[in-house]
Amino acid sequence: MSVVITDLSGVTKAELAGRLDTSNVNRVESSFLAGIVPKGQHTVVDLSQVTFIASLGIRMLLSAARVLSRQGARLVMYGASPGIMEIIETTALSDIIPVLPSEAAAIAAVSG
Amino acid sequence: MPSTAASGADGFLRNLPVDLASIEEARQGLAAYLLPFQLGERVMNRIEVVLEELVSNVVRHASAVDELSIAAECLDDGVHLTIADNGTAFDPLGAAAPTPFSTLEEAELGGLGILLVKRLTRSLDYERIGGVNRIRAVVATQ
Repeated sequence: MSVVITDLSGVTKAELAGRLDTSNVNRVESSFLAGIVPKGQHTVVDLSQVTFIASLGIRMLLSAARVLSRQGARLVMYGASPGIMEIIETTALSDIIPVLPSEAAAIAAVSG
Repeated sequence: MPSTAASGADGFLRNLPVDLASIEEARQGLAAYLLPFQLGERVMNRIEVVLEELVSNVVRHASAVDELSIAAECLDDGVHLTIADNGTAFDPLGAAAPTPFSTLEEAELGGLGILLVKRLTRSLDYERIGGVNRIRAVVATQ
């Protein structure tokens, strides 16, 4: 499980890779939040290399989006595989955090 | 307690230590047991999420527990999972479902695991028998 945070001209990009299961979320949640929250910028989260997600992963994304929202910044996700998307939709996370098909669409969504 | 394993015609069974590493050990063992059934990615993902949530619940929340067992069998109506522990009596299915939300501020951070389990299973029940909490979940394979 890895987290890579980069800056795309004022938009934070967080690339997650691996399994967002209980053990891995415990391991990466603090670096994920520390990498994006202090910037207070609109954020796009790349899920294309995420192979599994369960409730703690959903909670991590929800927490990040909520904290950014309180700072006036938006968080959107993109690149979810069908299996990841089913879990995101089952928890209704996708009702409040948009999931876009591509990085370009995600950046357009937060920049618009 | 050291882990012990059994599988074959009678299904899959693991007795595992009550710690986070057991979730991954159970997942890999169950995946190996289910491999010949060729269930497909979507069904396997649902099974893995249900297993993850139920075992994670025991490992993170159960009290006075030192025995955890995971059993599975692939039958006509789906994959039957049984998670048992000898902790204090606790029915995780009895908790109120998270309130539906339409904004980030309304969304509850807790209760998402059991919500997932309920929505991804065909049937789900809890019983307390002989000092053991037992949850049985059936994930449809069709």
